[in-house]
Amino acid sequence: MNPRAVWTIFRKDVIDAVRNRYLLITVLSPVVMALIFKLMFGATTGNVRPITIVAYDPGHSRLVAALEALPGIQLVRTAAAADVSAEVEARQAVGGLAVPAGFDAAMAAGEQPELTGYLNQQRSPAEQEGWGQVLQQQIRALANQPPPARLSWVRVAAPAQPQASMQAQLERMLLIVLLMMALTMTGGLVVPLLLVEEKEKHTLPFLLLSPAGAADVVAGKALTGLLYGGATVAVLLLLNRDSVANWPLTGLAALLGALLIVAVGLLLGVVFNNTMQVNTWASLVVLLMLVPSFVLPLGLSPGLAVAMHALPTYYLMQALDLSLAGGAPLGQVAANLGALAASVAMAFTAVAWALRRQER
Amino acid sequence: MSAIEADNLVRTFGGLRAVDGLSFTVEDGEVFGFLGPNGAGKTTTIGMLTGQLRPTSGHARVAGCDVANDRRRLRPRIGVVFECQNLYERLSGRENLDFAAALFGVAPKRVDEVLDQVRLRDRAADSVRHYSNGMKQRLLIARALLHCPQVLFLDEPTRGLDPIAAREIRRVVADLAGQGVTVFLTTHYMEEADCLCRRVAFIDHGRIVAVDTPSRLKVAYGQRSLRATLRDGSVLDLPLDDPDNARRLAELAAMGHLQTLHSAEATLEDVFVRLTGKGLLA
Repeated sequence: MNPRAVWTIFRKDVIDAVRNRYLLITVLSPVVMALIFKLMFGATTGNVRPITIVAYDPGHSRLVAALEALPGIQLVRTAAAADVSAEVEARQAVGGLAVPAGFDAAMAAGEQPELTGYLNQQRSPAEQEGWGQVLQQQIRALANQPPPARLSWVRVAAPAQPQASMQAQLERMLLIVLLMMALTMTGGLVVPLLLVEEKEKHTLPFLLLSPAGAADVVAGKALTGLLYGGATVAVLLLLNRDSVANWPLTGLAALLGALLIVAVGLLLGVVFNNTMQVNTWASLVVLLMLVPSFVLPLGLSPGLAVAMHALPTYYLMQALDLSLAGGAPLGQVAANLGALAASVAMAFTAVAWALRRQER
Repeated sequence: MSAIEADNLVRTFGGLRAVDGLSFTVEDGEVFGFLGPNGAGKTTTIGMLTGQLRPTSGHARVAGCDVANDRRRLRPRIGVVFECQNLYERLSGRENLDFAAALFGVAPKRVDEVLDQVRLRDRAADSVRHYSNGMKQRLLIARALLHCPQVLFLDEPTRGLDPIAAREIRRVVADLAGQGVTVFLTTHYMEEADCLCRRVAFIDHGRIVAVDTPSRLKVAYGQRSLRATLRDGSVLDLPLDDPDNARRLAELAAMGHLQTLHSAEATLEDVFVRLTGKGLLA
């Protein structure tokens, strides 16, 4: 292997592929689809939604007025303190507040009037924490002294279970589909075309008469595929960063997935000689590799579920699902990553074999 | 030392013997023409001499390297201009050369030197897809020269070019010959081989049928004759080897029938037809 030749071919391909509209569209498609999904299903990041707070405030206190004046807070008033809890749940508010009548006067007299705060545990911990902090800040701002009120919190509704969050689950499944598409389209379509184009344009004999050997050419193409695949995956993960619970494991799963599919792409590129062959066969291979990501979430008969184990992308999908969700036992994730790593090794062995066969 | 030594080279594809026992040498600094019709085995021979194809049997050494077993050492010693214009069309001319320079580990300033050599420096920043065929061909030669190869292989370098572009390529090859670069040239164009090559080999059905200088081949296999144009417009070819023609020419002159009289030297194509019984473009 000649590292200089590999690097030179990689650098050339990166520049050349950017100028190739077909390849560029293939690489960017999953990102465009991710943006469309975000528009369709509502963004979870970067989109400021008003925070709803329910308040019982018979005395029209300065505290509630100050909260109401804060940007991004939507205040809903109730007629009775007993209604706050129900209203918080009904409106899916982040929390609520019950302020006794004469609260301002008591504060002015230096007393510590009792406030009741409400937290909706169906909302995310970050939102609950945020509401608590806002309330305490406003109280301190009013008193301009050490905590002027004794604040006790009431938890509303049972804590939300991870699996109960349909929205989060849907977003994760969509993200997995997009990641799988990004990897398979880059590895399965872009990489073989990078190789086949060298054959079609007869530039491969020039490369093979240079100090670069066939293995260097293939390695250069693999690096290009990994760069484009990796960049697309990184953009997708950043766009959906709220859906990623375990970044290191997700990164490792994505890297192994990229290696696997780049190896499959190299194999196609070595075996086939023209774009038409690649487009025909690579599309079928890409579809096959994508099957687990589309089929598994729908539920399968036991027989079909076992058959899915024959596809290496099954393990990629499982590894991505577990690492994105977080909280899964390490052994379970490691088993999938191990199967994926074994598939990568087998795929690269197949590429080496095909190369040697062609060189004979 | 010979730049190229081929000894009984054979290459078969299935049952077809594309190259059938070729033996020849090309001396250092020589421009050697390899002439033959389509399918004669020219490109297969170049494929073997450049290490792209393994000979079925026989041996060849190019620039001191065995073409079958020493390919890694051979690659930097040869430059190849392929029959097809295999350039990266989305890249500029300079980017194509920069890429080749990086592959061969050549200093970037050499790119400017070869661009000057083929007179492409002013268009170097343009995308290759906007180049004419002649410009692409000059860029291919520049790329092949980038690493200063000991032997340059040119496979049909003027094929499909207009006369002006072809003349420019011939000028470049003639310059290379003047600099002492060994050139192995395949071509269909006999005048091209005649004016550029010190020696030529005729190949037919994978076998060399003659190797020598163009002038000796023409003398050996051509017919010495005079071409007489008469006052009535008719043309007579009068072979000099026929003793009757001397008398006939004297009579035509005495009777005042002669309009013009020229020597009619055989062309390389005539030689090839004589040797193989068919034309080069067959």
